[in-house]
Amino acid sequence: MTKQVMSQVFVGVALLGAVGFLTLGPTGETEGVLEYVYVDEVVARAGDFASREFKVHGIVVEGSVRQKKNESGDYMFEIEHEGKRLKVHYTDMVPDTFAEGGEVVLTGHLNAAGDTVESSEMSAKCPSKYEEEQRALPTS
Amino acid sequence: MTISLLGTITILVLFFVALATVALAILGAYQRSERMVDAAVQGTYTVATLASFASALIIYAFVSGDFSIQYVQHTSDATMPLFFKVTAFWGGLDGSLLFWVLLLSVFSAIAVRANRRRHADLIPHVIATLGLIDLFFIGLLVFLKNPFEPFLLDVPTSGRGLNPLLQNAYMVIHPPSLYLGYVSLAVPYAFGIAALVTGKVDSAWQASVRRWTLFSWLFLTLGLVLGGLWAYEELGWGGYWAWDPVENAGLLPWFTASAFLHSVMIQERRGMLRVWNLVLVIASFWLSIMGTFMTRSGIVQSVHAFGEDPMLAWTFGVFIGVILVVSFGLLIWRLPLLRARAELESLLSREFAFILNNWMLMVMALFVLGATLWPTLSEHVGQRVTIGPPFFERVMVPLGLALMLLMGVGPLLAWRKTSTASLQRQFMAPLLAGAVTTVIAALVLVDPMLTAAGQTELDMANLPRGLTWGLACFGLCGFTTATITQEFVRGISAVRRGTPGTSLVDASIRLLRRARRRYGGYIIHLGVVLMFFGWAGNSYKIERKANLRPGDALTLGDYVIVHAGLRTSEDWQKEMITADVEVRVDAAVQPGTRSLAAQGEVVDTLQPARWWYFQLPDQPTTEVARYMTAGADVYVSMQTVDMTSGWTQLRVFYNPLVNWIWIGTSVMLLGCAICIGTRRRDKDQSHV
Repeated sequence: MTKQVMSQVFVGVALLGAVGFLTLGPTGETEGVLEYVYVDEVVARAGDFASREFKVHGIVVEGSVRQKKNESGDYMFEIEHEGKRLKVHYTDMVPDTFAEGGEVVLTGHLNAAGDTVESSEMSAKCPSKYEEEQRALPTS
Repeated sequence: MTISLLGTITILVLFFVALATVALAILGAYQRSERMVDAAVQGTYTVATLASFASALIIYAFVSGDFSIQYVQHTSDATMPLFFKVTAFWGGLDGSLLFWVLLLSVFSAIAVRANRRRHADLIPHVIATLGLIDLFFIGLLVFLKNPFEPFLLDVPTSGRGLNPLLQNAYMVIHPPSLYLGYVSLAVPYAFGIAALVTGKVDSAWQASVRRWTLFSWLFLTLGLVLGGLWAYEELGWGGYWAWDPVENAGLLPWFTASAFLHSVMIQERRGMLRVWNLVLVIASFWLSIMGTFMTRSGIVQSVHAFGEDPMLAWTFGVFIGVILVVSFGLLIWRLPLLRARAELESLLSREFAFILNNWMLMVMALFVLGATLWPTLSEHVGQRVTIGPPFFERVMVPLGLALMLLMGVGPLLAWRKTSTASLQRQFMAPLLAGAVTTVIAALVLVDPMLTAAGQTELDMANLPRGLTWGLACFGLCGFTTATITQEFVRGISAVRRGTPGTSLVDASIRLLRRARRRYGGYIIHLGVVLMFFGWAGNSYKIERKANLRPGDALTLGDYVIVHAGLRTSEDWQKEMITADVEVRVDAAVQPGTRSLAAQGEVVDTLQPARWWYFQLPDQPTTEVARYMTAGADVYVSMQTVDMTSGWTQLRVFYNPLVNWIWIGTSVMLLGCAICIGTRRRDKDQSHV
């Protein structure tokens, strides 16, 4: 092997190793990587989601949105998918595209009782008129 | 004849002319028939003319409000300003495909015209390659996405209007700019393929594509930054980059094109990396198509239904596979011709710095590609996952800083081998500058950085990541600026020694003229440094969310934000609720107090708003307001508002140094313009 090839291989291996290390870290945890599930899956295996963050996708149930018009600005609503429903306690500002009947993806965890998603991060898709640029608007 | 019919016929004719052009080019090359090649050249011009005509037709349909055409009806309405009517051309999927065809056809015509005589032996293959790519997109228009498709029954009399989020000046320039970048990458690719097919894999093919790649790179950069600026001003979440698949798609070819622009210099100077350069040209084009595929087929957006358009997704998928197999097949076939003419002599050489830089950029591209596609792939291998910004940042921040370090080190190293004496002479001042910058940044910024990380005291065992990376970034900015300055000072002194009595300004202009590519490159680097300086501001960014009533206040860094009132108004397009938000400079107000302190000078009154378009009352838009200074932006967006009680949900950001990102971009573009202006005779002197 020539010196050039050897140095190239060395650089490549070192860099990929560095990326691997940065990605997984010494402990193997993967920050920023979350399981993505639909409402029915959460309902079916609530135990799995007790103590960790996940993303849940569902449709906001018509007529379920309640907002406290005070300092906290919390929202309570329900989301559903395949006939299963989950309560949501949302504690941040909602994106422009949030609406009843619209699709949302919430990041959060289940409360102790296992029946409500506690969330403060949401991306929402509008119920829809446009095929274009319906990208989820990041809220954080 | 209706526009719809005329447009559809034009697209059909376009398809057949493009098909004939490709056939003539291939036959001409195979039979060595100059007449056929000439006919193919004429065919290329005809395709460009027809594509322009089809584009003019669709624009006319928009301007005249021809709602019998589905695409026009879907993306415009009669009340839209003329400007947005014209740009609605690329506001939807069908039109953007036609826009792609227009750009590719016009670029093909320009590239063919410019290289017709110079690279006569490559031209038929270039025409065939570009023609095949064009044919693919024209085929999509003919068979899947005809923008001229009419309503057959129930012709509507009004349009649905363009999404208000897209009715923004940045949105008008951002997509075409990104498209110019994407599409122009097809030209270097076509020359690379032509070189492989003909076996003429010397450096000649690169001479004609270097400038094209620079052009592509310029527009990709501009497109990416404008997209960020749009997100920052329009979406109201206080940031400009969220590692969204749509953004990543634009970034991917940018990495490989940047790598190519560097590695091509090693091939020119030392005859090395010949295979690698072809890999980069192929990868850049492939990634540009991959990016279009990712953003257009909806496969990577988890909020979207999976495979929104399965037919389009499959067609693109096959095309992407074919490009990969054919390109790399050709490359492997020609490997014996692509032996390097020189060897790497030392690790302390500029060549090695370039090789490292290339590897970094390539690894970044692969990482971003992998992390963007992983959520889609993960659906098929078990657990569905999403990948958020922290995951990207964890890898990209250190790699980005390492790249900046190389940007500073590279110009200090000599070609072939750097001597120890030269190392000392070159590195002394920049290292000192880097150290001083780090110390100053630490003295001034540690407190705000700790506050931003939610800590009160410096705990050396548990330093916040933002603080570590922030200080490293400031230090590297100092180091790299010093290397660039050192190069300019040395260059200018040399000019003045050569012609005594020259003024500083004259000497600088002469220097830039003498080696545009080298010093233009340094100016681009300076722009990159300024952008990194802007990013470093993230290390002490503050975000506050609050529900305020008129009269309430909150503190934000050195400022006090006061809710001074709400008002409603209306124009012909929309209803608006606007808040008056005062930005006051005042350090005396204690955090948490709600009383409106009497003291404190009002430096600006911001007017964040929410707009409800009559056309789309259930989709209000957030209008952000900013108080901009070189030091930071105070950024306010209004989320929800209750007119009866006055409760207003505000999201307020203190975004330090953010404006340096836009300034840095302008400097980069200036440097790029200087490089593109390179004349032939500059080539010998330029080596950066």
